[in-house]
Amino acid sequence: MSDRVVVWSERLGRWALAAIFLAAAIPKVLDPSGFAADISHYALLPDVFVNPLAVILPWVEAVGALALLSGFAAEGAILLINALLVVFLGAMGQAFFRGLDINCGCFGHSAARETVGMAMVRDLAFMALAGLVLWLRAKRTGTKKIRI
Amino acid sequence: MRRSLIQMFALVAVGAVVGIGYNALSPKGIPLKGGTKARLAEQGARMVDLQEVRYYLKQPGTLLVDARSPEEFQLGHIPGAVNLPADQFAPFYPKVKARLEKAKIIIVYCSGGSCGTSEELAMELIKAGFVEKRVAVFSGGLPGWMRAKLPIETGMKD
Repeated sequence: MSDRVVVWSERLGRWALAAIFLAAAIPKVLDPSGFAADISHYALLPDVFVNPLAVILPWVEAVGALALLSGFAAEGAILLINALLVVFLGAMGQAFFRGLDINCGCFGHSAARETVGMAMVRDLAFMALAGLVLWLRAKRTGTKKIRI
Repeated sequence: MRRSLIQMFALVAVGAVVGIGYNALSPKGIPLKGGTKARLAEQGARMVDLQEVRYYLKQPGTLLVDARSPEEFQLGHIPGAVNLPADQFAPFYPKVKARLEKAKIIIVYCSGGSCGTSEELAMELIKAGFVEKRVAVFSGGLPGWMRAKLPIETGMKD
């Protein structure tokens, strides 16, 4: 793969992830109360942590997306997005195995209702993209360790 | 590793600061402390426990609303409750609208703990204009009712 192809593939992958995470963050920022209700559906966190998470998480997603888009602190942003996707998959996985019939809340409270299983499949696809971006970034910077 | 991790934590910190700041300034902001109870209070609803539910059930004009799915409702619900699934509000609402309008207090419940569905329904009811009906959420839900060995009803009556 030529350097030019690697650079542009990494850039396009990063922008795609940024678009996904901005699309996920904006509805949550606009409706923190609905997102808090979605978080509590997972029955994973003590109630006292639900509101702070509903306030902070969408902005962490948005800041990560903006960093991916601009290329500023891109390595940290790719790591952050990968970590978020792993956390989301874990939360959805526990809901799936506990048989909870809940709305994912991934793209906001008012987004079309989907099963947790469907959301997990989509999350895995995003993880594959995030993993590819991580690998392309490593190739681009010329080291497999991507300065990790 | 170190540089990427520092960047990642810096992005999280920026997100947290911006999020808390935006929440403080936004008219749609939610209370950071107090969990569901505080969030409900902000919307004009409140949480009630089993003792309060039993007290209100003795008062005329109290309506219990089960926010779970029709299938769950048929398997067992608090006697006298009507079914208004939070995720099927639009199709079910006309069926129970008259009873909601007659009620003086509306107590919503779901599967207890942090099931969240009752909170969602309470917010829908407030949006539909039932603020003055004193919308409340029964925090213990059906499991709390059953733990107290209180009777349940089966089937769909409403």
